[in-house]
Amino acid sequence: MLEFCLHVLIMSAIFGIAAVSLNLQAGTGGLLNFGQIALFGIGAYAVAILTRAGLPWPAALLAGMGAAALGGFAIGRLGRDLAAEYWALATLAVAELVRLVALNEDWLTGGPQGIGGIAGLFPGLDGMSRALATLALAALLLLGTALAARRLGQTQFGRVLRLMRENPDLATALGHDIVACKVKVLAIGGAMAGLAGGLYTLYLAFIGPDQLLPFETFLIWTMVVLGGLGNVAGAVVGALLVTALYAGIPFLKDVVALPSDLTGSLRVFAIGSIVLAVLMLKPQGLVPERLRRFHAQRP
Amino acid sequence: MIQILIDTLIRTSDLALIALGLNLSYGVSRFPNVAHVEMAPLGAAVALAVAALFPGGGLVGAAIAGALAAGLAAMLLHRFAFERLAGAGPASALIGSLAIAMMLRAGLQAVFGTRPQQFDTPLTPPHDLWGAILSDLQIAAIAITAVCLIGFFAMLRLTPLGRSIRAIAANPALATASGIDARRVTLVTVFLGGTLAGIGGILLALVTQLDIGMGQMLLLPVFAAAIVGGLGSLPGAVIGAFAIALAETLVMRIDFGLLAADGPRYLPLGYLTGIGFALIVVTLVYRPEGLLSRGGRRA
Amino acid sequence: MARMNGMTRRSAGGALLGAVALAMLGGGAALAQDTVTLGAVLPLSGASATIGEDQRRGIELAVEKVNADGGVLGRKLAVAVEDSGGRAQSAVDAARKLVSVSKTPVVIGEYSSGNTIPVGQYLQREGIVHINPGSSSPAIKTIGDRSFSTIGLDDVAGKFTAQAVYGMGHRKAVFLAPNNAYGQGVYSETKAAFEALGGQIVANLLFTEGQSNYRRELQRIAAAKPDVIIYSGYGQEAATINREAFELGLSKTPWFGIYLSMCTADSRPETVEGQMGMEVNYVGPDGAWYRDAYRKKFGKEFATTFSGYTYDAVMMAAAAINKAGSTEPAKIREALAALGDYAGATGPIAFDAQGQRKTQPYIVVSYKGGELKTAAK
Repeated sequence: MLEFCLHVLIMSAIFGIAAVSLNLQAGTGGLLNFGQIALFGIGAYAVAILTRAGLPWPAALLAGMGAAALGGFAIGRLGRDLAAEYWALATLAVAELVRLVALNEDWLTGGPQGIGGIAGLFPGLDGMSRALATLALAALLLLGTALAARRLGQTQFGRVLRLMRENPDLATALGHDIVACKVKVLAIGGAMAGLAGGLYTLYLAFIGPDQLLPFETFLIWTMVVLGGLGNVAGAVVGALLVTALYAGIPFLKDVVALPSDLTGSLRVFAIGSIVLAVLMLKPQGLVPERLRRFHAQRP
Repeated sequence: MIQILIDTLIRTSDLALIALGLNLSYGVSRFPNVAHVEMAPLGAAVALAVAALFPGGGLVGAAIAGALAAGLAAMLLHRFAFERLAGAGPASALIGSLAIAMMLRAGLQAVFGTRPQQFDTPLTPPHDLWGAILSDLQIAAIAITAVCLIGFFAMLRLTPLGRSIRAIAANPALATASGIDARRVTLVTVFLGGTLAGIGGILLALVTQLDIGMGQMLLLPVFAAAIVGGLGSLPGAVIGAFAIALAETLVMRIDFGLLAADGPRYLPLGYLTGIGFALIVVTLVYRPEGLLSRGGRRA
Repeated sequence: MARMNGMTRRSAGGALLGAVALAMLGGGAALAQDTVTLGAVLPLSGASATIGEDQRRGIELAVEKVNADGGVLGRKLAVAVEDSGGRAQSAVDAARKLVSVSKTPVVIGEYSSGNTIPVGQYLQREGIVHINPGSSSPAIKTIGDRSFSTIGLDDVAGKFTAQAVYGMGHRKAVFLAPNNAYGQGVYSETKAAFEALGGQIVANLLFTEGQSNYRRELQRIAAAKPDVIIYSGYGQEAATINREAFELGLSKTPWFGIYLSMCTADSRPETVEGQMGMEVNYVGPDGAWYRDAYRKKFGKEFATTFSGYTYDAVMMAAAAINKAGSTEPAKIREALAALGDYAGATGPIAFDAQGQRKTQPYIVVSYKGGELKTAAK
C-alpha cells in the first residue's frame, strides 16, 4: 500500500511539472496549448532514444528538455498571429502529427511497440529505497520548476505575459513584441514539459505512442483548470488531486460492488465532470490566481 | 478517375453533415464545440436502440428518433452548460466542451457497451458505375446527405427562421435590436446543428457500423473540414469536407515511386489520418479565415 | 451563485476523496487469510474491451474449476481483476496496485503488446511472476525470466502463415493489418518467412484502427493486383473491411486471415464466405469440455479466441503454486518453468528457455456456410 502511495506521489510530481509548464503557457500567457502532450512526448522519446544509445540519464534528460524547447519554439512560430482558439486547434493537430510520427517511424521510435527496457533511475537501489530516491528527485525537480515558473511570473516578462493574455492589442500598442513573448514562453514551457516527459520515461522504463493521445493533454488541462489557471501552486495541487483520483477510483470497486468494466468509463466520466463542475461553479479554480491591483481588469 | 471522385464523395458524405452542424452552432455560439462530434455516435446509438426496441417501426422512424435525440442533447447542453461557459470566454467554453465530450463518450460506452453494432440492412452486390464500384447503401448515404444539404440551405434562404439564423450569425447585437429573440433562435440553431450531426452519425452507422468511439475518430477530420472551409461558414463546411476528402483520397493514391523511379511507392497508410491534421495546420498558417470565412486572425 | 455553492461543493468533493481514501485502505484489508489471490490486468474498457471481457470470462471459469477441485494449498483461489483501460500507464498502475496492495505473487496480463511489455517489465523488476495470455508480439521474449506466455508468439504464427499461403500456390501477396504492435509484429514475421520461401509481399497496408471506412486502403489492394490478400484485424475493424471489400468486388481475390475466427467474428457471413485462414486450435484435444463449460456459463459460443489463454494461465499458475507448495513468487517461477508438458484447454503447453509457449497447434481453416471448417492440419 505504501509503495502504491509512493507511486501515486511520483506520478503526481511528474505530472505536476507538466501542469506547471502548461500553467505558465495557458494560465500566465493565455496560450491555449492543446498539444502539451507533444512537448511531453518529445522529451520522453528523446530520453528513451538517447539512453538506449548509451547516454547517461542526466545528459539524456537535458537533451530531452532541449528537444522539447525546440518543439515549443516551433509551435510558437506556427500561426503567429492566430486568434487563441484557432491556435488551440492548430496545436491539437500538431500533437496528433507528432504522435503519428512516433507511431509510424519505427526505426527511430519503435513504432507501435514503443521503446522499452530503458535503464531506469537509480539501478543500484531496489524496491522501496529506489521509490523513495525517485520521489525525492521528482519532488526536487518539481520544486525547481515551480519556483522558476513563479519567479518568471514576477518578472517584467511575466507581467507582459499577463498583459498579452488579458489584452494582446494593448500589449502590442505598448510596444511589446507579442510573437517573441509567445515563442519564448513556449520554449520555456516546452523545456519543462520535456523534463516531465523524460522523467516519466525513466521512471516507467517505457514509452509508447499511446502515451501521446490527445486524452493525455486533456488530463494535464484538467489538473491546471482544477487547481486554478494562473497559479503555480494550483497546478501542483491539481496534478496531485487528478493523479490520486485516477489511481484511486479502481479501489472503489473493491468496496462497492461495481462491475469492473464500468470503472474505466467511470474514471473518464469523473475526470470530465470535475473539470466541468469547476469551470461552471468556480472558474478561478481551487487555488485562484492573486493578481496585483494595478493589473488590468478583465474586459 | 471516376473511382477517385466516388471515393471522395463517400468520404465527403461522412464528414459534411457533421461539419455543417459544427459551423452552424459555431455561428451562433462563437466557440469551437468539441463535444459536437459526440452527437454523431449519440444519434446513431439512439437510432439503433429504437430500432431494436420497435422492430416493426422501420429504419426511417428509428433514424428520425436518433437525429432528434442528438438535436435535443445538443440543445440541452447549450442551454445548461455552454451558455454559462461561453460567458467566461471561448477558452473556457472550449475546455468545457472537451470535458463534456469525455463525459458523453464515457456515458455512451457505459450504456451501450464497446462492442460495435450494426443496423440490420440488406447486403447488396455492388454496382459498377463506369468503372467505379459502389453499393446501394453508399448511394443512399450520398443521396440522403445531398437531400439534407439542399433542404437545409433552402430553409436557410427561404424561411423566416433561416433569415433569423443568418442575422444572428452575422451580427447578434443588430439582430436582437431588430426584434429577433436571439436566445430562442440560438437554441433552435444549436438543435439543428445537433440534428445534422446525428444524421451524419446514423448514416455512418448505416453504411458500416456504429462504433461508440467514432466521435474521437471524427473530431479532427470534422474540425479540419470546418476550419479549411472557414469556421462558422455554412457552405464552407461542405466545401471543407469535400477538400479534406479529396486530399485524403488523392494523397493516398499518388504513386510517389514515379518520381523516384523504383516501383510503386505510396505514403505509408499510417499517415492517412494525418492528412486532415496537416491541412488544419496549413490552413491556419496561411489562410486562418478558411476558404470562405472572415475572422480567425488576431485583430 | 458560485459563492453560494462553495460550501456544499467543497464537502461533496471532500466526500468523494474520502470515499476513495477509505476504499484504498479497505482494499488492502479485504483480502482474507484463507485465500490465495492472483492478479490480472485486462482491457475491460477502451478499444479492446470485447476481448478483455472474454479474457475475464476465462479467468472466471478457471477460478471456479480450481476451487471446485479443492483450491490451492488447501486454500481458496481468487483472481483480482483490474482494468487497464487499454492504456499503458493505467495498465502499469493497475499492476502496481495488484503487487503493492493486493500482494499478488502472479499477475496475468494484458492483451495489447504495447501494454503487456511495460507491465511485464515492471513485474520483472519487482520479482513477480508475469503470465502473458494475449500478446503475440515477439518483443514479449525480451521481458525477462519472470515472464511466461500461454499464447504462441507471432514468429511461429508468421512462419506457419507464410508456409500455408505459399503452399496454396500464391506468390504475390498484399498484407493488411492494424497499425499497432500486433499488426506490425505479425507483418514483419510473415514477410520474412514468405520472402524466404520465394514469395513477394507487394504492398503492406497497416491501417489506422477505428476509421469509418477503409476504401482507400482497399483501393490500394485492388491496384496491386495480388494473388492473395493476407489480413488480420479485430472483429469490428475486420467486419467493416470485409463488408467494404465485398462491396468493392475484392472478395473475388482469395483472402487469408491470420486468426480467422477473430477476423470473421463480427462480419456478415456473406462477406467472408470462402475465406481461408490460419487459426489456433484454441480448443486443444483435451479442451472440448472447456468449450462446453464456456457455453454453459455464458450461454454463447466463444466471443473471441482469447478466453482459453487466460484460463490456461490461471490453471498453470495454480498448478505451479501447488507444485511449489508456496506462494513465494521465486518458487512459483521455478515450478512454472519446470511444469513440463501441460495439457491446457488450448492444447499442450510447454515453455521454452525464454518462458514462451513452444508450440501452438495451428491449423488451416476455411469459412463455409457461416462457420469455420478445418481444411488441413
